[in-house]
Amino acid sequence: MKLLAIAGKDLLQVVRDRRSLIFLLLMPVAFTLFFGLAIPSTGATTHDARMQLGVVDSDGSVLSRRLQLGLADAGAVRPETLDRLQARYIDDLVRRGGYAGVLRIPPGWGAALEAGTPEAVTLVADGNTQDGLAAVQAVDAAVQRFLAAQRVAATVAGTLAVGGGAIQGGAPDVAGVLDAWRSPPLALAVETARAGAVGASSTNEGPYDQASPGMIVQFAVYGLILSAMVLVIERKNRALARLATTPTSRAVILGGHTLAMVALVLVQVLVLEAFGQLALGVHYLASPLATGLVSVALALWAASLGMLLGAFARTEEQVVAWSLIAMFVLAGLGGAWFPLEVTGAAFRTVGHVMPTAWAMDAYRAVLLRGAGVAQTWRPLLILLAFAALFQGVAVWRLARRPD
Amino acid sequence: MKLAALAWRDVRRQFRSGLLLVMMLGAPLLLTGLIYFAFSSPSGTPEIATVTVAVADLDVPPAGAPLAAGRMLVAGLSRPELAPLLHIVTADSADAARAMVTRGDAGAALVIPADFSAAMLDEVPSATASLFTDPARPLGAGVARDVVQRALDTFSGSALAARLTAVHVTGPAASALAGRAAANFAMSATRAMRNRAVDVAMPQGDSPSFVTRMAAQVMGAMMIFFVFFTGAYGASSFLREQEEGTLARLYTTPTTTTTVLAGKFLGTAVTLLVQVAVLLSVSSLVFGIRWGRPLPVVLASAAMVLAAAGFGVLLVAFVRNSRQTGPMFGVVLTATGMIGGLMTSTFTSLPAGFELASRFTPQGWAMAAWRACLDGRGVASMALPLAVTLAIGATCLAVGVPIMRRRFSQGAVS
Repeated sequence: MKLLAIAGKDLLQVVRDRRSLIFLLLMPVAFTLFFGLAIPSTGATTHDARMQLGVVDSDGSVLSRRLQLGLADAGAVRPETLDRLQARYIDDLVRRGGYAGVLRIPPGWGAALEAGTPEAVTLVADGNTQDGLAAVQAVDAAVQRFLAAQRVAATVAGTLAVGGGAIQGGAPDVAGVLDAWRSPPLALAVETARAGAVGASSTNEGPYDQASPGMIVQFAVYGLILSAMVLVIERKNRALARLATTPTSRAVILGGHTLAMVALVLVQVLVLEAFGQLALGVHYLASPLATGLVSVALALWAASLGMLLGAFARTEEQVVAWSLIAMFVLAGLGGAWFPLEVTGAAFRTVGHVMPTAWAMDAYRAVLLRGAGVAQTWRPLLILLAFAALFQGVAVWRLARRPD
Repeated sequence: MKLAALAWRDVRRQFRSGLLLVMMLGAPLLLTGLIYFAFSSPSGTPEIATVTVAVADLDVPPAGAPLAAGRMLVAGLSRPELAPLLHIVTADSADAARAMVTRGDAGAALVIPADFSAAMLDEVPSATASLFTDPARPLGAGVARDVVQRALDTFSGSALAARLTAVHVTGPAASALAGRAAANFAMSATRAMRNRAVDVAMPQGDSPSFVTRMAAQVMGAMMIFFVFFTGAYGASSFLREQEEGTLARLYTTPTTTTTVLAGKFLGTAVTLLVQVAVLLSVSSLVFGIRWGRPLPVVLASAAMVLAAAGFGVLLVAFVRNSRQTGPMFGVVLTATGMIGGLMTSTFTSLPAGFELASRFTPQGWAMAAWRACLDGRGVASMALPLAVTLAIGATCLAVGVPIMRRRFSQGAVS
């Protein structure tokens, strides 16, 4: 009963301050919406997200025009023929003009290809930029298909020339092979194990599949400012010491504070998940039990971190500063801002030392693959282990220096 | 003299605050450091994690077939040169391979169909392999798709060579010639791997590495965000001093409201200039960021400092007490920072409305000026963002200072 009274007092103290709502709910909602809108998702937006690729076609052959069509069909770039004036400022167009690259097709490229002596095309692109790298990949893939078609044509011609049977008609040209390749003998179908739509052909994440859980994890940490502050103020104004003079055990006092923090973070997480599910279409209900367990584990861990901060910080200013640093480090390294998959090997390894990385792993498994408890038990256990560790250190600290 | 003393007092107070030091210097450097660490790699280009692909080879070659295409495909994907990209593990069935993906043990599952060899040998028109990918690892899935597609293209090329040969030949030699064409194409494909299809030329001009460019974009954005925070925090010293009673005590000395206002503004401006100088120097040394030519950098810094100090004065003019500063600064600076593009500085293809919206915030114009600096542009080509940033700062001061003068004058405080 005393435990509940202490927890209730803490919660009342936090909720009475209307500023709490800003940090607990409004800011994470605003950040989630913003990043969801900002992240380009080819399947979900109407604007053309393809990169601009300038083309200077000095060849003008059927094959060079087909190369541009092939680039457009592949979907990564939007080829645009440059006029004479633009062609004089290729470097500027790539550096500052919004072009991912400029493709130069030399005169006679098509004829050389047909003749079996292919020439390389030139791509002016900055390989130190994301767009430049993507342009190189897109152009390389398209040109490789043409070279392969030329090799098929050459192989057929060479084989027929050797003869050995009754030959009917001439060997196909490169364009003929490209036509035949439209229905390849061996094709690839790509399916994605998406939650809620297993077997969908799209490989795109929804725009909020990263932003929504990412901001939940980040602001679960940021929300600790409020709860850790309660503990620090009680230690500063000796309320904690006075409470200890009453017939209330230390375990009950600390348990009450912890319970308040768990309840606060859990309510915050559940409200943000409900917002994600109902307003943004994020599949938190793909596996309700797994989502529920992730939420509880996250709340327990975040509360233990709040206790840790509250146990070590001496002033309110320290609580704010340490909470901010904890938020940046834990959210950034743990993959709340961007999936750890896109980072380097060292970052991924260090990231998984952070409990936030395991929370994000569990969320993404549920949201994107519809994973259940059987697939998420490992990150859940690791989160709980972190919670036990942090709580243990906090209790040890408060037992040694309660004031 | 009194003005300098007031300014110096505020500067010292600000640099003694642990929280402000974290916000002024620690946070922007920490955030940039995280991004730098996340995307740095020995090659200087983004590093791609090896993706595990579970392969279920269900291919059943026709009786007497000269090849087992499924097995050849698996062998091709297991080549040592592909090891940095793919880690191939075999699965007994399609379900087992897919289960590895749903469990998170593999990034993709490749199922080679039973008629794979038959399609190679033209006994069926076509066969379709399926790749089942983990949406939680889209990059790895993309790599697996590209590599498998290229391998299948080689197989398709061989099959097409055989088929196109066969349609031109009649008689008993047709089959042998088709087989020879397929083999010849496979050999030519191996040789062709060494051929260059595309010459990549770098555009003229300086090109920092991928990670340095990213760090520069993040550092520029975070510097602006936290400079605006410091500007607002500096202006809020009026509120704190009023509540602590030190402002009233100050007015018991022969000090005018104008001197107090000017002294505090000067103190904030000096703090901001020190903050900017430290951030530019440390980021240049640690992350190798080249901020641009000296004069544009000095002008961009000065314009940003004026805008941040002015914006801070305007904000504080509408805040009632120091308890309101946290939420007010948090909400307004975060919202204008977001709209100004500070949280999306590294995004490459933002919807068009974002760029337009950024022009309605001082942070957006400050960012435009810093982008111009980083591009190595001269003063002439960044005149517009500089002028607008300065104009916003001046306008904020023109609106905010009279309000502050009324609220914090000798008569109002005493």
